[in-house]
Amino acid sequence: MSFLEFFPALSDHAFLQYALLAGLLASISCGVVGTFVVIRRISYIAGGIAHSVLAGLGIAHYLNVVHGVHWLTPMLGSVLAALLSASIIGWVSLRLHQREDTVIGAVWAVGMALGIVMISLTPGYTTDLMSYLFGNILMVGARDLWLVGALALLVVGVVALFHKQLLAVCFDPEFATLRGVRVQAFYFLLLGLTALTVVLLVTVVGIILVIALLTLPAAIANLFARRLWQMMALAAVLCAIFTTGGLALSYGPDLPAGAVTILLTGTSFFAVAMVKRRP
Amino acid sequence: MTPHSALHCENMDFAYERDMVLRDVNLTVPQGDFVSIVGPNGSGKTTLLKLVLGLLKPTRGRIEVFGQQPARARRRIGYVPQHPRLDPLFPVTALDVTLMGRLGVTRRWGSWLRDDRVQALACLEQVGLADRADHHFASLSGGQKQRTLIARALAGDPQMLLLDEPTSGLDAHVEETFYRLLQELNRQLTIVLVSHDLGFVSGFVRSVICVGREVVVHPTSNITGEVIADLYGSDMRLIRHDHRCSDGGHEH
Repeated sequence: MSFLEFFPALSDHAFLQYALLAGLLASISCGVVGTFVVIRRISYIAGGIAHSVLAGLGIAHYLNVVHGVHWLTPMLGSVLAALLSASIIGWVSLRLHQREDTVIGAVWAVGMALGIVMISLTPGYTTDLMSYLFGNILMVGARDLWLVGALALLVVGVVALFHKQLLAVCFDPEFATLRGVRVQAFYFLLLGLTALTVVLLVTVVGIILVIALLTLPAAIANLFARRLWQMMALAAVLCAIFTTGGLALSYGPDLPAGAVTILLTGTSFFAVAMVKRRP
Repeated sequence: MTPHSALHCENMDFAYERDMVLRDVNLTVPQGDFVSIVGPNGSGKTTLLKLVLGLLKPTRGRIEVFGQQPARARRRIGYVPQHPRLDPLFPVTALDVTLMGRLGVTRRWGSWLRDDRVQALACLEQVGLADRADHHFASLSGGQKQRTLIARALAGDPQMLLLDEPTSGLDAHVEETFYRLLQELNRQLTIVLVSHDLGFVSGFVRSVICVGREVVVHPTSNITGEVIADLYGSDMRLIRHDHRCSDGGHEH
């Protein structure tokens, strides 16, 4: 079995250890936030945020290469772009209740277009585009790992503090309002957390595939869990299994790790959904 | 010192844009009362309910809940919504749902306190669902879900229970048990329920607030076929139930 080559290689290569660790750290917030994305049914919003990340990556890349703005790393560019598009979508969905999907589609496509233009304006190799779109977890360096870790900690910390309100807002926003919960603020908080988690997962599987990794582990967990924390924990474990499995399976035959991770995730989802109907 | 009435409206109008929904509403619900707001669909019942909850503001006139502006008095109201349009996979147990009623009472951050759990369990016990606390909410029957939502409303320690069409989708047998539970709760709380089913309700409540174009308060015993025909239109078929006279029934 060629994927067994992965484990001996792991002790020899630091880049594999970084990749594995990045996948595991991202899995924690994937399980926690993916659960909210699934129960609040905002996966289309998460998709819009994910694709708009390309604009942040492209602009950061351009400013780095052309103008020497080195503090604006691609990761920071992604965070800013994701938070900005989350605010635009959140504002629109609260103010103009209809046409929300149109605006999400616009943010989605305009973000990608802007990113592609910025990347084409940047002199040098354009292979970066492929790794942005489909992920390149093997490129994760020690510095990225710190950022991934910090973001994961932030996401989990915020949810630990406010999970009562977040759950109530997803379950019955009207009742939550009557109990004095600031529903709109918590909706924005949820979109912000989704944006940060999307950025984490983009490093693992890339912009286009991120939506599957964010929602499918939580959707599988949903079939088995009776309570919120069970769903989060199970989703995080599944996400860790899929990212590690994707990395291991792709290593031997030299396949793209992100795509293999998603194939593994998607196959598991369909298999479980067919066998298991309801808890 | 006279205690504030649970609900008091004075010359209240409400209009969406130019569309007048409620005109010149005057009503008083004393504390400890058990009243029903009835009226056909589209009559403004839901609007009146949202005014009581402070989700809408009157276009003209005054509305007070326990002597306060509705939005300020919200936490003294236990609200039980119509039927929860719920995702059947939503990962909550009956206890989790009940605990949500503790929001606004408990601390803001972190997990629930021991006291929250004790209170929530006591509320589930009160509605006869203590043994279902750990069950998936979606797996409960329609009546059990409705009672869980009452437990959630009770968990916030309210002085008034406000229910919106609580029996829609319940069968008659469950409905009867349900109203007995409300009568039981009425010993401690004011109960206001919104219903389109005048006939059944009138067997249990003390007075009825009819919402048509105008709002009229009837003691239960004065509800006749004529009132109902006025309200719903003459082609409405009336099914008679035994109407009970309440103590304060004739002070119209």
